Amino acid sequence: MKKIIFLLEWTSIIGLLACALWVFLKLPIEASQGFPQKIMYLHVPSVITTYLAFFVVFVFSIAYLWKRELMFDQIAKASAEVGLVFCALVLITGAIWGQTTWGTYWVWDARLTTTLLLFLIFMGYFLLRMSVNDRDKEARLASVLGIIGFLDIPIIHKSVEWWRTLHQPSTLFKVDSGEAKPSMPSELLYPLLATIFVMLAFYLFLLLLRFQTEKRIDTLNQLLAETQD
Amino acid sequence: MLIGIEYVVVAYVIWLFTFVCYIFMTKRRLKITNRAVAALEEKFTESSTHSMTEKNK
Repeated sequence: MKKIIFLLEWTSIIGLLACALWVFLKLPIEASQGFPQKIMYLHVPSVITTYLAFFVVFVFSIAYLWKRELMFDQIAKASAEVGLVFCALVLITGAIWGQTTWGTYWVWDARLTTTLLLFLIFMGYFLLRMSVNDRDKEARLASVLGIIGFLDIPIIHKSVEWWRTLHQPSTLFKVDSGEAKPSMPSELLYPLLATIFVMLAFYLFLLLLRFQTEKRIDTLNQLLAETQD
Repeated sequence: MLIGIEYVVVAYVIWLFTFVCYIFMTKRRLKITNRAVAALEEKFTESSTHSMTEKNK
């Protein structure tokens, strides 16, 4: 496990550095948005990683409620924490990008509001965990909230189609006469896909690191409980 | 030509700084927990050896 974490850590860090060099040194400056368009290479991969992190929470929360294995809850908790960090960065980088393109950091737009709601739901997820002393009860209640929280993601994704929003439609692909086509030239698309791939590896590293910590914390709590007995 | 560069720099610096802090804090937490687990396990082994020798006596 330690070797895998070490390998993932360094390959993803080197990969992220290589992607940043590609974006800043090789790519041309986009015509309509100018230099701030480079924020896209940070914002969009962070969005996809957030989706994946909360999807992992969703899957492992269901698995916990079904099998009652503590390991599933540990994975869900680890992924929720990493997802929450990515979600905060999505909101921050999105606000900075918004200032350069829309002239404002924040609007109560459907996409932005539902993303903020997702962030608040998972903040609540950790507050709930902190407020319950019994480990099984904590895992059960958090699993329910984790499943409910994930249901916000399809709403976030579809919000640009369901409501009139300031936020642009899908960045990666657009559906044109029933066919999904890239919504940008390949020159800009390839570095974006590479950054998404590397950021997912970075997420996996953080997930394993947090999962390992979570396992040890539970062992420590068990030992402490035995000492008190 | 590089209008808006400050926004890009701020976005990348915030992203980088967040993860540097997050990784540092997580690794530190793991290290502290590992130490505490090792200390408690050692204490358990010592007390069980002690009680065994007491029984034998």
